[in-house]
Amino acid sequence: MLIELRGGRIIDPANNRDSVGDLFIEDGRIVAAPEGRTPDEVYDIRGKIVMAGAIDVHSHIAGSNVTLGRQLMPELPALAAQDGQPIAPSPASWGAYATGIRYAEMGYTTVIEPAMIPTHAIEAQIALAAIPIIDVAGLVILGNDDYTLELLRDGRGGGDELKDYVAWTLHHSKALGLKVINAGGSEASSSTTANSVSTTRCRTTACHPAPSSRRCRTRWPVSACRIRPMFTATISASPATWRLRSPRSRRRKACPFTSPTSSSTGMATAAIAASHPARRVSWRR
Amino acid sequence: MRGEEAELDSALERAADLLDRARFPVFGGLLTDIGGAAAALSLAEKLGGVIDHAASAGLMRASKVMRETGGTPASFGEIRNRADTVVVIGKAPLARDPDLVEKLFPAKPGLPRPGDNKRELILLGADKAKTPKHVSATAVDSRASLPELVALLAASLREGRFDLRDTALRAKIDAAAARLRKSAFAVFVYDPAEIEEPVMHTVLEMVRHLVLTTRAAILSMAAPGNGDGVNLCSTWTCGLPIRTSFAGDVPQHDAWAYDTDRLLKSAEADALVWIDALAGDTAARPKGAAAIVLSANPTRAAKDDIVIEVASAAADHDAALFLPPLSGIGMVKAGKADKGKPTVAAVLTRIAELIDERRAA
Repeated sequence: MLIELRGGRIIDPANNRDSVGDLFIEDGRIVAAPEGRTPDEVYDIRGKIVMAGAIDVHSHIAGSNVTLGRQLMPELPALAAQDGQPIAPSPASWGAYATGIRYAEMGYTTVIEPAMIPTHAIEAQIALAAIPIIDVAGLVILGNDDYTLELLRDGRGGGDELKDYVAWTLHHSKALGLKVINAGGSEASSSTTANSVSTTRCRTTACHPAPSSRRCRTRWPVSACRIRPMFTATISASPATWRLRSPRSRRRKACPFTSPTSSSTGMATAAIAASHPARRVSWRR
Repeated sequence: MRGEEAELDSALERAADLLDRARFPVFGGLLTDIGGAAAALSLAEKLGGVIDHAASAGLMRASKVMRETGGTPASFGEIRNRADTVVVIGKAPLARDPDLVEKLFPAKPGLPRPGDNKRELILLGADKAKTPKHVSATAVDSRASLPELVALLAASLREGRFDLRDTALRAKIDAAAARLRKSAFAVFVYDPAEIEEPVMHTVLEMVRHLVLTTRAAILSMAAPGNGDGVNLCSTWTCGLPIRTSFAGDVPQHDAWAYDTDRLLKSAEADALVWIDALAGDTAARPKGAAAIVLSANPTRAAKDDIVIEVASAAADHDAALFLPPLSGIGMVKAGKADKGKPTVAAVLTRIAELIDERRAA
C-alpha cells in the first residue's frame, strides 16, 4: 500500500533537509516519489512537521518501581497540574495508556524503561505491553544482587561465570540492555546498622588480607570498608562482545582499617568517627 | 437464563445484551490472571463500570496505610536469608501459608547475615504447635486480643511504662521486646486481611523505632485469588487500585463506595460480572443484580445467571500471577493445558466486540 504524506514540513538533519514537501511510504518504508502511481492513502499534513520519531532512552514508564510510585502517590498528576504542567490532574495521567498517548503526542516513537528488576521482569514487560502506540523496551538491572556481587568479588572462572549470568539475565528478561546502578553501593550502606551492632564481620574478600587472617580481626560496618568496584564493565550493543576489564584488582590497596600500624588505625578510627558520628563502633584487635 | 449450561455463543450474546443495557455494572470476584484482569479493566472502562476484587478488604487497608505513612517491606528472599528475628502476628499468616515458617527458616543457612544472634521466631497471638523442630520459637498467646498484644509489644519495645496484671504475659512480652531490641534484622509478618489499620500502624511504628538503632522491616501477606496481581494491573493501567469506577470523565477510586457487596445491596449496580477462574481459589458470588458468571466451576452460579464456563488460570493455561516468593508477578505454567475452554480474557474481549457491534448499529 502506497501512502502519501502531503505538504508537511520535513525535517531530516541527516540529509540536510528542512523544507515543505511530500513523503511517500510503502510497506513500512519511506520510498522515493513514485512515477505514475496514485497513492492508496493521502494525508494532508500542511502545517505539520514530519520528523524521525524521538527516542527517550531513560524514562520510568513501567515495572514494579513505577507501579509502587503510582500506589504511593496517586495524586501526583494532580500536583503536577497545579504546578502548571500540561497534564490532566487525574491518576490515569500516568497510567500505561496515557503514557503512550502523551509520548506519541510529543513526537516520540521509542521509550526505554531503564530499571527492570530481573525477578520483576515479567511484571515490567506486561506493563510495557500495555503502553499503546510507541515502541518500548527495558534495561535489566544487575549489580545489587548477592549473586552478581559474589561473582564480582570472587572472580570465579576468570569472569566467565559472571558473563554467562549477565547474558542469561539479558536473554530471559527480554531486556534491550544492561543497567548497572552503583553496584554494591546500597548493599554496603544498608547492611550497616546504626550502631554497627559491633558484630558485622568485614565481608569483603576483595580486601587484602582476607578477613580470616590475623591482620583483619577488626569488625567494621561494611560501608566503612569502602568497597571499591573491582571491575568496570564495558557494555557494547551485543552481549557477545561484552567483556570485563579489571584494572583495579591488580592495584588493590591495603585496607586502611586493618593496617598493622597503630597510627593509621588511629586515623582510620577518626575517619569513621567523623563520617558516622551517631554510630558507636566497637572492635577487637 | 437457567443455571444450566448454554451454548457459548448464545451466552456471549446474552451477556453482551445485558451489559449493553446496564447503566452501572460491577466487575467483581476477579479471581483471574493478569490477562483476565486487563480485559476486565478494559471492559469496565468501556461501560463506565466498577472493578473490585473479592479480597479487597485487606488490599484496601494495606494500600491506604502505604499511601498514608509508607512502609518498610522486605523481599521474601531477604527475610529468609538475613532476618534473625521474625515476629508472626496473628493466626492468618500461617493459615494462609502453612509452610511459611519452613520457607522463612530454611534448615540450611543461606547467605551471610548480619549479627551473631541465633535465628528466632516469635508467634504473637498464635500457638507454636506446628513449628518445625529446627526453629527456635516462642509463642505469646493469651486471651488478650491481637490488637492488645501488638500494642503491648510496641509499648514494651519503646520501654514505656504500662501496667499489666497478667504477669506471665508481661514476662513474655518483655522478653520478646528485649529480643527485638537486640536483633540485627527484625521482621514483622502480618496479614492485612486480619488486622485493622491502627494495628498495622502500630507495627510500622515498631519498625520505625527499631530502625533508629538496627534494621527492621515488614512482610505483608499477599492477598488470595491473585488480589495483589489484579491490584497492580489496575494501578499500572489507570493509576488507581481496585474499587475504582470508570463512570465519570476520569477514573475515581473510593474504597467504601465501590465495594461489590455494597453496590449490589444498595442496587446502585444493576449488573454484575463475577469472575471466579483461578486454580485452587474460589469466592462465593454475592447476591443481588443480574449476573454474568465466568467460572471454572459453574455449579457455583445462581439460578438466573448467564453462566460461561471458562478455563482456570494456571490449571488450564499458563498464567501471569502474583507470586509471594517473588514479591511480584511471575508466570505459572499450566498443569495440563485444556484448550477446550476459553480464557477469561478471551470471553471479556469477545463480549466487548459484541457490544461495539450493537452500539455501531
